[in-house]
Amino acid sequence: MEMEKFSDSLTIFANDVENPVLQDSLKSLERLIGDKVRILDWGNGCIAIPIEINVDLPSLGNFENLDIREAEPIIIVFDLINYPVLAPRVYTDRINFPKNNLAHLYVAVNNRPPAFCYVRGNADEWYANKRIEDIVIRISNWLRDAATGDLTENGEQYEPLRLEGYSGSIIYDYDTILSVITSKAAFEFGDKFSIVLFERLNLTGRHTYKFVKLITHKNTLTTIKEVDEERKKGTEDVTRKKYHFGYILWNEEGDLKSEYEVNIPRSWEEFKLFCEFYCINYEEFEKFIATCNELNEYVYFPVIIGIRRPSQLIGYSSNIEFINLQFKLDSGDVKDGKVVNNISVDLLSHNQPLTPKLASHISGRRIDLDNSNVVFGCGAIGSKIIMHLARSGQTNLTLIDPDYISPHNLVRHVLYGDEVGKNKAEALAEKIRMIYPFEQTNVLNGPSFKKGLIDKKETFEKCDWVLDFTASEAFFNKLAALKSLDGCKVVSASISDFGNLGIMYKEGEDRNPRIDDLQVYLYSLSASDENIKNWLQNERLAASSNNLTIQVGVGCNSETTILSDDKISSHASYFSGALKKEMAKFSIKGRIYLNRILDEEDYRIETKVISVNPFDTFKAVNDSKWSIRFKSGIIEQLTKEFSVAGKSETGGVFVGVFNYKTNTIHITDSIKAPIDSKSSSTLFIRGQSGLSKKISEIESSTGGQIGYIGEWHTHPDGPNFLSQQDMTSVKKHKEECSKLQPPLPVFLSIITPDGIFPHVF
Amino acid sequence: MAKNASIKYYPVGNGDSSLISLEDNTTILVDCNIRNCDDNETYDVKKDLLRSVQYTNGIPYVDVFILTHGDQDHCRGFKNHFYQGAPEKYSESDKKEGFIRVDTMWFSPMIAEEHSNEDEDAYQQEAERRLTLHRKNDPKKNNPGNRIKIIGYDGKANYKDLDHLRAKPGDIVTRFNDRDQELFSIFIHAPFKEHLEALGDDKKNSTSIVFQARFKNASYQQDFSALAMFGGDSDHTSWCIILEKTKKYKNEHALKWDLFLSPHHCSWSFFNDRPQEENPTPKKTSLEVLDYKRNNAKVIASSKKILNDDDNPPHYEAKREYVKKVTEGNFLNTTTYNVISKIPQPIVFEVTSQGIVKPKQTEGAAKVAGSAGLGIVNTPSKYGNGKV
Repeated sequence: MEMEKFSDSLTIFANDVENPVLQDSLKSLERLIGDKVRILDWGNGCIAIPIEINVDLPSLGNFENLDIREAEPIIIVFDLINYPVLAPRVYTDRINFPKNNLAHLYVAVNNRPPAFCYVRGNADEWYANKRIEDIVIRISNWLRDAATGDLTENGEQYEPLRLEGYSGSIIYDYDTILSVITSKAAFEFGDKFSIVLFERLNLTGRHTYKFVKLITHKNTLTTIKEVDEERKKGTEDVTRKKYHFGYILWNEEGDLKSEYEVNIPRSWEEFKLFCEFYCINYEEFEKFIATCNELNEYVYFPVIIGIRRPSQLIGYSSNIEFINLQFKLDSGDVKDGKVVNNISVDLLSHNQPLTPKLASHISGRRIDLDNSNVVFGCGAIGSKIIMHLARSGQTNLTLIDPDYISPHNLVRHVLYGDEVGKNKAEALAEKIRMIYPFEQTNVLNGPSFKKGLIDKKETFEKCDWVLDFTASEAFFNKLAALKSLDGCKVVSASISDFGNLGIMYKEGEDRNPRIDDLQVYLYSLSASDENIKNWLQNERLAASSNNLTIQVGVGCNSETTILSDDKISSHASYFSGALKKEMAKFSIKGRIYLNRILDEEDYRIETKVISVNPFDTFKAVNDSKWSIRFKSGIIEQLTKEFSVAGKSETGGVFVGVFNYKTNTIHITDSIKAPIDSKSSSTLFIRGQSGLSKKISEIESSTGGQIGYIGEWHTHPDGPNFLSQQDMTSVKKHKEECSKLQPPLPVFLSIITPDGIFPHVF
Repeated sequence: MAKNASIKYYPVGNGDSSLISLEDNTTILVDCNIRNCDDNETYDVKKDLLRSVQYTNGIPYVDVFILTHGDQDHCRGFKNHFYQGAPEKYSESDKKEGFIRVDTMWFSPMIAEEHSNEDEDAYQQEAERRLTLHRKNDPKKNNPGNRIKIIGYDGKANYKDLDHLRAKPGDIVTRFNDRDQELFSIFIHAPFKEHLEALGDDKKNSTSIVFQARFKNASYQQDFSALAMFGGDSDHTSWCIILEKTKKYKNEHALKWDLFLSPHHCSWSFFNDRPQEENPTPKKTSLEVLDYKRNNAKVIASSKKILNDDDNPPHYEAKREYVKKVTEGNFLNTTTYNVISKIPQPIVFEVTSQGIVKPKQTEGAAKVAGSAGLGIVNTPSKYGNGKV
């Protein structure tokens, strides 16, 4: 039997091919097939080259007995002008090609054969790095896969139709429209026939319809009224919404169709045949649009047809595929409840509205979207991290910031000039809501928590993460000691070193280590880390003060702060990336994330992650308002020295920092008893040899952040309290310490076989 | 998309080297005949193996090595290319040398009795090292590189205490290198007990391990996607017994094949005794074995080019008998199948749920650059006519 070819119907291309790249490709094709190519006229400024390609077929016969042959005729279509920027399209040249059973074919249009969908994604981009020979190989592999059954990559799922030639688009949530069919979420105006309200967006050119609501038994009248209200507005009124009633038709459960080829209807007559093929009852729909055509103000309206497929559609939640059409119906097209003219039908492309879930999927990060988070600080750093989270679907955010957008903020903030004067948290929340216009997001905002609310446990009861981007040391102190956050995971991020060092503290499990522990820990690393040492020393110079509480951190809320937006973005994107990882999988230990920008001869960025074990915590025996927090490892060290000394007393000096704001003493290290110390079973005299030098080194390397804070000694046989002699020393120390500005508490711990007993005076 | 399993027959002249690769990247090497590649006309099997096998900590390894029997053309290169000895002692310099670790050896005691070459000796020694570990119940005995499976029956040496490591004819093996395979299994046909009594020069040949490799693409699949028969150098008497026993135990499914590696490099010995001139009629049983072919089945002749001469193997008359069964197009000779610039290339089949098919063609790209291995890079190029 002579095979019928589509190319037989094409005429020879009468002109010359002038495109030199195309000439080259045709020569390559000729080399490939070992013969001259026939150049046919495809129309629309394209030429068609029919060739035959070889296909390797599997030994046991083709998948589902598909009629794929060892030699398959295809047509390669080149755009005469725009080739090779436009990739060639490839069509089967066999009229009886088994197109109905294959996915990855475009639905045929305009009496042309179906085209192969040979690239997932953009064929033009793919072709930019390929040669014409590669297309031939690819099509041959495509056919081989079709024959082996490997073409449908998603296993048991059904590939949706591939359509082209759209004249507009329609935006709705697949699952919402699905609910009309599966759970009767809308009123049925006829058998398997419901109505949906769409709004046409004010765009020039293509028609774009946006889903508004399903028409239900309850809202029918109010909706009609609502639509009428809009209709009454003058056409010049910018607030006037263009409402269109659209229709959904679907078929009976059990009417499965696995054939791919639907001749997508292009006219009313084709539409009826289409409905008959898919067992869709269109009579009631016809009667409705013919008799109630006044319902729609406009001649255009969308129609959605639901077809049941044998298995779930790839990328969707059910086996129902929606074909989206646009009708154009004039009053002259209807008579006696019938559509009398063969009106034209167009194809609309469906767009899924963005949901947080979809955003999360697209951004490739699995984070728990049910998390609820409170964010303090919507400034430069905060706004950027917040938007990173929001764009990846995390919208359960309560944004807190009392500040207003000032013009100079626009240099480093995500918001734009039209927001100047607005509250930062409010403006940001509004922007997030606009990303997901179809969704009820949980984003909240406010200038601050109402009085006292921040201290209430209930406020943070349902909160997972508390994020601090305020760059405020005062707020940092507040957070560190805030009891109401006990069930939360706390993060604080800020930038320092003139904007070149980004620091993010992430607390450990059960808030240990805490953010203030992490801060002290980071400072203590200056002994071994040259970068940290330099940074802290620079900070001290900049603060030009010997005061212990020098400001570490750079505020951006001033016009005088010189810092570029790209540096802020670099820190923010690093923090956000690290934060999202933590949100997906919480690390039990504390973490310090550092992002260092080296703005030197070359501009470079380096990062560092430091894991921090929980601190050992105590209360002062004599004054429980003081918390004492030991960097992990120190207690073990003391215990060891205690046991080594045996029956003799021993002792040493603590370094760390006091914080009057949080009533916390942080101990970062213990200096062993100097060599001139003396001891017996009941006495310990701490010597002084080399001690001052050691402490001065520590003080200098940490830029004054860490220094001498107290002492310890042992009572090998008890008691667990201070002796008379101990108290005399305390008094002596106190005398000196209280005269300092600010005064230094006297911190003395004793270690006995029963444990450690810290005292603060 | 999941990767398909594949079977690769290397072009090694008269000899066998076949690599089975499963979906999970498990590799099973059946025999090896790794020759020198100095002559520019020999395919570099070792290089391809190093590209095809898996690595752990930089150590290349095959999951299973099946030596069908110890003839030189089935184990050539074992000593120089595969790692022997305690796996924990594999060194950095071993890595540089590209020694391939054999995680699990398949070892047939019967075929290992008569050593004829140093590669076979090396295989035997390595097997004995492993067997000793198992016998001593060494804690390292189950580490990759120490694993071993005994195939068939004992010869002179007695391994009865290691029966838990043994698979016998009629067994179906589904566990490879300490890992259960859902989609792949091996049915063992030979060597069987009768071989012990066999006599004559061809004893080693007739006592080859013979097995059917069985592939599926989904666990719920009823029939197999591909069946590949491997038989070393087994002769017609072996196949006669295989046929008889397999039918007797109602295991006909184990006789079917899509790919048949013609025994002994397309030798006449599969059809009848040699020389063919004296025994020109193929045994009925051998022909019956071939009749278990499935649709579009293929015979692979891993041999030199088959000419119409007196050579054996490969034997021209043997080829004619095969072609009668599968047609000329389905008779593939490793030396002539696909030759690129004088170098024969491996025959590769991929397993799809519709049976075996040639692998996909590889696309090129619009951007190219030469590699350091280019001939022009490695030879001087002379320009102009002047003297240096």
